[in-house]
Amino acid sequence: MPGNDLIWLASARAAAWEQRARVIAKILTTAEREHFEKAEDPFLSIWAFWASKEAAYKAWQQTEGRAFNDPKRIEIKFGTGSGPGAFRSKASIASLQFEINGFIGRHFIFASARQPGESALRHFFFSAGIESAFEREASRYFGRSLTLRKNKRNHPVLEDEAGKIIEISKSHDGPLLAFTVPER
Amino acid sequence: MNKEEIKEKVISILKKYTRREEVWENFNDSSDILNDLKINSARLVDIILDIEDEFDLEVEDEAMDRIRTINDVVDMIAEKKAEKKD
Repeated sequence: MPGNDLIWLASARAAAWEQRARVIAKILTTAEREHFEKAEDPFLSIWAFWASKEAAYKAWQQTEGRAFNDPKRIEIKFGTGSGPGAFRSKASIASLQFEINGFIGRHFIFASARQPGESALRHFFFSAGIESAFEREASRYFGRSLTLRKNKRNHPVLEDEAGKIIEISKSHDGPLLAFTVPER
Repeated sequence: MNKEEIKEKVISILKKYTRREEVWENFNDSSDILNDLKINSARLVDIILDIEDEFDLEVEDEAMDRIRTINDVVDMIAEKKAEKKD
């Protein structure tokens, strides 16, 4: 089940997390902090960590159904394939592992998570407030009429006319909306 | 400081981080901070730090984990304040 996260960099800059030791202590584990302290760009580093954690958390929550707030319960390890504009990481939450793919654009950071062996993911980006555009695009992509709704756990899903559910993930920050679906 | 006074201060902190004014039209003590007040999860970290500063206390990771609703925040602060007094 997919998870995603979107960070609008203008809002993130205002929070100045990278300059606040107490924020870093609340968010990063000891191993993560070592990585962060060596980062060339601490601002992008802390938000790449956050986007990875949040995407993994959403994927985990869809599987487990439970909620938690402590970001240090998710441990991120950045791997090869990380470079300017893109990053790959692995997330561990309790006994579950997630693969994270992310990219860093001029205006936003985006990360998506899936468990190893799950189908590849596809992403859709829209201006905030036009969720109907996603329903149209997703219906075209999957070749059947789909409606966006929330399930009992308050997670977004797509449902077709036969009641078949496709688990998805949704993020919203700044003027952007991002949806992640499993590839058809 | 009683729970009503704590709640007033907590709400004023939360209001800094809500993106939509209308969420405050129908809130109650059981309103879920992320889902009902539509607060971005990243802002929860800033909220915890604001609470630590405002109430002069430390919110440990375990305590942070238990927070879902306005009531949870108020109860946690009241408990910590009481512990400090003892």
